[in-house]
Amino acid sequence: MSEFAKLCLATLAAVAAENVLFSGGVGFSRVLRAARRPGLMGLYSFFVGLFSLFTLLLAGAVGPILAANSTILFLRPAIYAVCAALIYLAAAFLCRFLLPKLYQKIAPVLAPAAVNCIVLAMPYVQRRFSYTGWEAVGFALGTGIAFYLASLVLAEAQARCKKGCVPRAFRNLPATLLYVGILGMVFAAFTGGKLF
Amino acid sequence: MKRKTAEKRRPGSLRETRTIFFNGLFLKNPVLIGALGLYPVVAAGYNLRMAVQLSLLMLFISLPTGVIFCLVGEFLPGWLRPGAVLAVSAACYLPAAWLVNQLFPGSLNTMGIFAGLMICNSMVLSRCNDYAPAHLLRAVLADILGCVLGYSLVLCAVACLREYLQRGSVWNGSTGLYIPADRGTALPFFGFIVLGFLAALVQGINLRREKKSGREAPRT
Repeated sequence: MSEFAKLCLATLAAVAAENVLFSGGVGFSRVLRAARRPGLMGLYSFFVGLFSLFTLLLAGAVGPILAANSTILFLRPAIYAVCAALIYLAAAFLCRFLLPKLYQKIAPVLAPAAVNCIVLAMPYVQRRFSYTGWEAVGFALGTGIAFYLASLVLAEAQARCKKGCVPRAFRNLPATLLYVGILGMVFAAFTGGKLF
Repeated sequence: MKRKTAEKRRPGSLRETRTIFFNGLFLKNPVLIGALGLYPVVAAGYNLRMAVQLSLLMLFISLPTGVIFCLVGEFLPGWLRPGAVLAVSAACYLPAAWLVNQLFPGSLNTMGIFAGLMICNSMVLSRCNDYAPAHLLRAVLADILGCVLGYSLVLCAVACLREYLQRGSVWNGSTGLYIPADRGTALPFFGFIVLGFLAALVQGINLRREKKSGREAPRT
């Protein structure tokens, strides 16, 4: 299979069949928060994709070493989280001291994006060690797109769930959760059941 | 530091500590009001045993992480803190996972990916990154214990319902009744729907309390 086809398939998988946000229920707390800041949604999604790419590449490099030793295998989630923390610290340090103007703009989304990339990428990193370079790029791209689309949908949903026609007890979060539940049902039919 | 000193000086801090604990437990429940850490509830909370294991794991991760950041968090610059919280949470995961596996042998395998994802649970990270560095240890402990207990109650309640609908039993023991339910009750969408109704219940109670206190206020 050509590298481009691999990239496209990995992107499509992340957006549709392996969409952890709607069919896996993973990472939702942060998508809800992203949806409350429509102006930063694009930037947030870009960093989710970027951090996912670095985490997947780093995990691809570390994965075979971890898989070879059953004792180290137990440490795997902690090692991935530390890798993501280091990537975040490097990015934050570089931006803060070299590009302070850019840092001021991206500071509110940088840390949540780094944490979210672990939540979104770790399920697949844990299951598959062998993401080739292009697959990793495709999956990271798909994760960013999926995050953006989910934020977009939820921003609209949250605006509707605040309206006066919704009963007071259901206004805002309860109605949004029900909305996501119904949307998740569609994705469950699409993916055919549990992702993990 | 200034805030901590101010809090120390404030009278009636024991009552405040109790309020912080009960806020996390019910009135400002992290899942139902704050929408924090939803995935263990919607995706992993489909049987009670798993719910209890995840709750214990969360307690064992968040308590030491919270204490550490209460003590040293205010000395770290804001840009560095989220990365440090994540790294410390990952370090605390190792003894926590070992401990839970000792209490429930084989639980790490059954929890699968959800055990590892507990490291970056948004409830743990928000309490340790935002709340712990600016408050006294007593308040931090009350907040974390209240939030973890509130979180666990929701997780276990949702898990009980889903396990009962799936198997007609709870904690692998038959209750003698069987309600036929589709396998869909174990899927995340069902968790979101149950959570939606529970969140509406808590919001309804909060609204009623507000209304009641508003009516009582003029009398006093």
